[in-house]
Amino acid sequence: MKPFLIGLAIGTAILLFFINFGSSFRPEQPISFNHKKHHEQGVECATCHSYFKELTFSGMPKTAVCMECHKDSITKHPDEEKIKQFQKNGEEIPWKRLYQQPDDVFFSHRRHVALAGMECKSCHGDIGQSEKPPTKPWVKMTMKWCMDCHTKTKANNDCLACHV
Amino acid sequence: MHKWGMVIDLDRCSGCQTCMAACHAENNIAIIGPEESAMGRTIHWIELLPYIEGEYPHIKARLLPRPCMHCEHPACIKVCPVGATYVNEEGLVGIVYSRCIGCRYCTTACPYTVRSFNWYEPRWPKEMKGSLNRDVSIRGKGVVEKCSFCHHRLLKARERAKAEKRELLSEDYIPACVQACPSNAMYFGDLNDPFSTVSILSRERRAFKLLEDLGTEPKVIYLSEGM
Repeated sequence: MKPFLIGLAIGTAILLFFINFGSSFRPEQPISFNHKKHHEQGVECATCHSYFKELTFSGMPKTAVCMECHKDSITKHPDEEKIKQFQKNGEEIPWKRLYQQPDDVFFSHRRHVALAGMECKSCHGDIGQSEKPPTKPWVKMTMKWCMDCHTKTKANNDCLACHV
Repeated sequence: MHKWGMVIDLDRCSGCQTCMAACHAENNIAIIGPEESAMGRTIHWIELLPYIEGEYPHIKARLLPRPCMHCEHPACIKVCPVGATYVNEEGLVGIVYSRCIGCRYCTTACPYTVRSFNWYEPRWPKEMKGSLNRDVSIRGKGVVEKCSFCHHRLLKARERAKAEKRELLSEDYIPACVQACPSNAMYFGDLNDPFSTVSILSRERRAFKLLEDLGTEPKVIYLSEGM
């Protein structure tokens, strides 16, 4: 009986450790980007995420886009130097992807933003006012969540509208 | 509401298989090797079925292009235990790949044998990397697939119409096989519109459907040859 109890205790401890680790694990973005500050300076969403009106994806800015303003040091933030380093090495900023769709789900930014007239914040929350880059998606994009909104807005709720 | 349908004029079809090639390229259909092919495991969304007409010595070899019939009353959806396949309002028979459990009841039930099972992980020669169509998902091992009437093109056409602030016209949407056919043997359009080309052709004397007596009511209509 005793070895069994010890084993059970160790097992529970390991399980708890993994649950704790799993829930506290958040991908750290390479640059601590401040959306709010950029927004206050009058930078539009489309300046950096340039494709959401025309294509399925919205796109992340190339370092060259950052450099248009940050060529000369305009802040004292150490991350500015990091961007310069990325550009010098001819690399792009390795942003971590947060929103992901399964392979057989077709999602189009253009369809939602340009054609249906939705706002960024419907899915991304108040990202324009955030001071730190998000570490997790603002919403878990479950099928129910998508379909609830499609029902509310009387959008096409046919399976084939998203499952291609 | 549209009811999409296809007319294939067998008098015009030369059996060149361009439709098959166009379909493969458009829909990311995996390339299956010769040994697997010998086991009957190739995947084609549209296929040319050879058949012989008449009695020897007065025989004629014929070829019949066969996509999914997109039946009004499909046998395949009745047998699906998980509801992964269904007919939508516009009459297209769709598959939700993530729901498919690969039981292959539908491949057996379909009287036209249009459904194929993915026996292997999809593979392409490495030279083809980057040439896959981004609008069509890649089907993994263990799911069934078939012709979708290039449904992704309908979504795109609808998007375009909306951007141009007009109603969707039937000319906006044609599947890859119809577009590629060099002898103009294939027509595509709205069967609900009595004046569309497909509707007019479907009322022709030459018009017939495959295995009509089964009551599946296919939406692919053939125009017979040599009359």
